[in-house]
Amino acid sequence: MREPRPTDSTHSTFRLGTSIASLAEETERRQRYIRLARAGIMVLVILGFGTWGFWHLTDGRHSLVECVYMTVVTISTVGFNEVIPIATDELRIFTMALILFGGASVLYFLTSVAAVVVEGDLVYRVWRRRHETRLRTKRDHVLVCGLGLTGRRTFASLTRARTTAVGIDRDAERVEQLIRTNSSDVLFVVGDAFDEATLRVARIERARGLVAAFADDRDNLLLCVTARQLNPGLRVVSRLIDPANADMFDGVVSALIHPPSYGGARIANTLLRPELVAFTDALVGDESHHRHLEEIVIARDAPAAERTLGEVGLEARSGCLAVGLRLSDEERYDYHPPPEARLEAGGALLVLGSRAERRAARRMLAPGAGRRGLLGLGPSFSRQATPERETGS
Amino acid sequence: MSAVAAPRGGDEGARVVVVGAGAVGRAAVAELRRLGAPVTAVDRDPARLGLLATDDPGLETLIADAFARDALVTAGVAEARGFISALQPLRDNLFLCTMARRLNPTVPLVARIGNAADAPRFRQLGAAVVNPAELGGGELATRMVLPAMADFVEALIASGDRKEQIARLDIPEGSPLAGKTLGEACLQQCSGSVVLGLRRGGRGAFEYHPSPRARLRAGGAVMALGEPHQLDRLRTMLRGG
Repeated sequence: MREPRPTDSTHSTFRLGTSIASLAEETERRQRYIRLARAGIMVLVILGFGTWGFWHLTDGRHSLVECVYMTVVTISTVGFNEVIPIATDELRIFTMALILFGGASVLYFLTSVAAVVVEGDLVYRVWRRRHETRLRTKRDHVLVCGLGLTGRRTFASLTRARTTAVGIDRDAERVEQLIRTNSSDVLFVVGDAFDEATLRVARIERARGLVAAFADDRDNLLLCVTARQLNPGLRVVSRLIDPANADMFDGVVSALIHPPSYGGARIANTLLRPELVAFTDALVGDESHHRHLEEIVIARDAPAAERTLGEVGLEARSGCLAVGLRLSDEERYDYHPPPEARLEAGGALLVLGSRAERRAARRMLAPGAGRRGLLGLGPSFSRQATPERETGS
Repeated sequence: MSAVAAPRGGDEGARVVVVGAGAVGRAAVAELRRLGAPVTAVDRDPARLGLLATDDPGLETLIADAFARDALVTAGVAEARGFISALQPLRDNLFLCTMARRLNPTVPLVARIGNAADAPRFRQLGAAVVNPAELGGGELATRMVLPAMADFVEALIASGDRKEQIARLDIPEGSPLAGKTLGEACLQQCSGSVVLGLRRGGRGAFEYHPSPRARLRAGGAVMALGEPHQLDRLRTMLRGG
């Protein structure tokens, strides 16, 4: 299939001299300076480390200048006139490591310098090329359509949850605000989200989900229906403006959020049950990396499959709390499962625990655990491999 | 109202005063009523108050300009269980919270804000702040990325059709379990409920998912998940007898 061309509106906003172009150039430039500073620090650290190493491994028989000289000659890969003879095995191993790490960091430093020196419009052209390539190769991302206050917050929350988001809005000014509050690395498309071509530019057919965050229910419904047609497997979540319209989204969206209701309910709970709010925030909020709730799918040939929670001793052996269990994809979670509850293969367990505890639980529920999870790689993908549950359809 | 002396902040039967009956204010009133707290809703606009349920005996409405001190006195802020300011403008909410604090030095305050940067302005008053716009955006993202967690949290907060509840259970002075570790106290196995959090003192943050070696302290509290009869059993165990 032919690669879809960007729409006209997309094309014109990417032309040089537009506000997005200058903003993108500005933020990109700032990031390059940050990268340069980082590279510089890296080189200095390597320099210090090399000097210390030569000093230490020769028991201080050589002067400081000689040690610095030796380090520079080594990491710059010039290597002439070794003032310190590389005579022992320790020195050889150390020098090899220094050449590899030092050489890489010097190379990185030099490219950072070059990146800062290049002319403005070249910076923009490179940035734009990279942006387009990244967009073209994106998969498993989430499209956020409508970049008002709510949309931008959604975008920020997704980014914090380490999910790639692509912002879509017709209004270049809102896109600018998105770039300003995030970085030049954000992915976006300036264009009409109701136009299939714009959604294709944002790679909707490879996307994992779409958030409709416009301030009008008609816009959101149109967008959700269009998106489902272009990609039936897409998980669609929409903002709701008028609660009376909620039933119109039945069968179209997986979740519907009416921000004022949500905020109002939160206000009431903050007053009456502050501990509960703190607890739920700790589960899904920003600090959730420490103690975290995780959904683990029970694999067919997992050691714990088809046995009861009590038999497996999941809580005692992993340290996790099992707070929810569901028997299959279609069913709702049964919270607070009793020890007699069976771990049906294909179902899922909701556990609460630290990272190490959750890893232990994952291992018990992963296929053929102990044999395949050698590097700990296999089980850690279990959550991404979870089939998305479509509650709405 | 019989009580005259302070403090009355945590009084279960007292009213919660909610100023502002917009979409956020109405949602707050509905949730408060669902949780069983009697509410007095104040708004200048009778039409907005009219959108609230009228046949509810636990809900009083007051058509008044809340910026006049008399209106808040009439609403009963002085003996209220809590005060919520759910108007849109920052200056209005700050003004109302300040006035409510003057009328009642111990009442818990919650203010609605529209911008995260405004939160520090309410700190001196000891008011909690909630930002509906930010929460809505965050919830859209959570619903997208972590649907199972979002469902779980919703079930905890809005446990209408669920039998499980989450509850805070205080450990009273002289509790037979005070001084024991969680493992020794056998809270989980013996009551059937899950201990999600533990707090050492009467205030402060809960330690979530405590280890079995964590010690129960009199005056502290336990956060547990379970069905009502399991939570009752746990409460009895903590109280002794």
